[in-house]
Amino acid sequence: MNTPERKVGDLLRAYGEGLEMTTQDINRLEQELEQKQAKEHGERQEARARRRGRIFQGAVAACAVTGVVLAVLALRGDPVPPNVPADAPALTRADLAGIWSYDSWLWTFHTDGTLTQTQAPYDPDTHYSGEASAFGPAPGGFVEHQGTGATACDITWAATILPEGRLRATPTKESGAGCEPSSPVDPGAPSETLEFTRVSPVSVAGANLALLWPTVAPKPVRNLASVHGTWLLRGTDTILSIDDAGLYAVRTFGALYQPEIGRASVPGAGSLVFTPRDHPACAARYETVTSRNSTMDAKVATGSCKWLGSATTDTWIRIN
Amino acid sequence: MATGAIHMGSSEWQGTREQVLTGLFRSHCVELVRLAYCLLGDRERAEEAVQDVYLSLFRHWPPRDERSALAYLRSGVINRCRSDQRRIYSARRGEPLLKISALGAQAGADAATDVLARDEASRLAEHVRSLPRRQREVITCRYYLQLSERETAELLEIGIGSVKRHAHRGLAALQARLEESR
Repeated sequence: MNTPERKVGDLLRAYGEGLEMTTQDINRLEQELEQKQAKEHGERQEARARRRGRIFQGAVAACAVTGVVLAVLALRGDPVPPNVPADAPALTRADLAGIWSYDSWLWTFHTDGTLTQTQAPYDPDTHYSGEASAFGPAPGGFVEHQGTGATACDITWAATILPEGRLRATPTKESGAGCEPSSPVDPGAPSETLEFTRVSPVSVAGANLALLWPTVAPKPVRNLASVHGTWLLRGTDTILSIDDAGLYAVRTFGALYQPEIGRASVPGAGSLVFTPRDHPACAARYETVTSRNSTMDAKVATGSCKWLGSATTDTWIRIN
Repeated sequence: MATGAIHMGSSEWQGTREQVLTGLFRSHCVELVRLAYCLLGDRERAEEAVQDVYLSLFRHWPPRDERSALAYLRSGVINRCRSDQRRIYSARRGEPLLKISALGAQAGADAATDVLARDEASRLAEHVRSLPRRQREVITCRYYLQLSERETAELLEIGIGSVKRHAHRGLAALQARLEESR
């Protein structure tokens, strides 16, 4: 290590270690963590109860999704515009429509102008989870409308869509009563360009998505906790979400069919069964299911009534 | 930097998920909160980020061993801090994205030389946070966590060549900014 490296290391460690952490602090943090765990557990129980009472509403919402799907087909023209310079034209709803991945975030640009941003698995009852805002075209990109009244804030993004299915977006302007003043400390951060990958509808970039999560040694799936999250079937735009209550959804943005919703279970080590809500007698059964945390390999069991991806072995990539 | 450790095969590791999580929390939370603090510059958000990552570990249980748990936690904190900056910026509500460190104020009672040293450390940390994302993360891994180039590459899931490049550029930028701010 040379002198500048030593200096940076010494100063950075002095800064970090300057943050005093007493035993009382650790106890407090541990107590708060326990409370959060308990709260999360309670919310899961509540969500399960809520879902049980919403089967009818779910069916109604599914019909609405079919309508949205038809609207997607009507609005979508050419998949993506060419790579565009700074004075690029506005991105339309049809250009942006789809599910885009950035880090552990999934941004869904709906054709009705709703933008949802989430780090949680898909909710089969509401058809999305996370924060919802609205979006529309703006010169050189798009504008995101957050909040209303005193909390309203419009964020203008300079954005381009690359042919392989990447969206490069840089926030350039904010206006509205609810906007936060820019930080005086980190003037570079607000203009950082975010690069999204379109995972559905399928794109070249989405089909070759790099692993986003830490990879561990493969081990057989033993419980639902190890498969909880959102997964992309490698090479396709099929998205599988499994929540911690065991509800699963298989969906494709803009597909002609509504999402398949049902219950996932782990009957034994390395086994995974997906029982659809609408056809409980025809489950998709997998054996030798192994997880590396960032990916999951699943082999269709002999005699399985159906399968979610191909008829043999599938690799799913964790996207949140 | 860890205050203690639990060992593979120990009764602690073999215990319930809650017990092992408690052990992992007590062993690594100080290091992780300070890592998040370096990346966010805000104690409250750093603590929240670390708690969220422990909750995520709880949901994705079990890790293979303590080493893989620590790798998961470190990687999770870096990702969470990155998302936190994005989320806070996107939400446009609450506290500013990054607050000026209160270290200077906290050091009121310290000796003058100590205050100067803290001020320099604080300025350096602010410069690190203003670096582009990859440079910021590589600099933090290499010089705060003191990871090797290989360990940094594994944690950030990038190539060793990228680690070298981002470290070189980041260091050059930091040197220039420190010179400017003198």
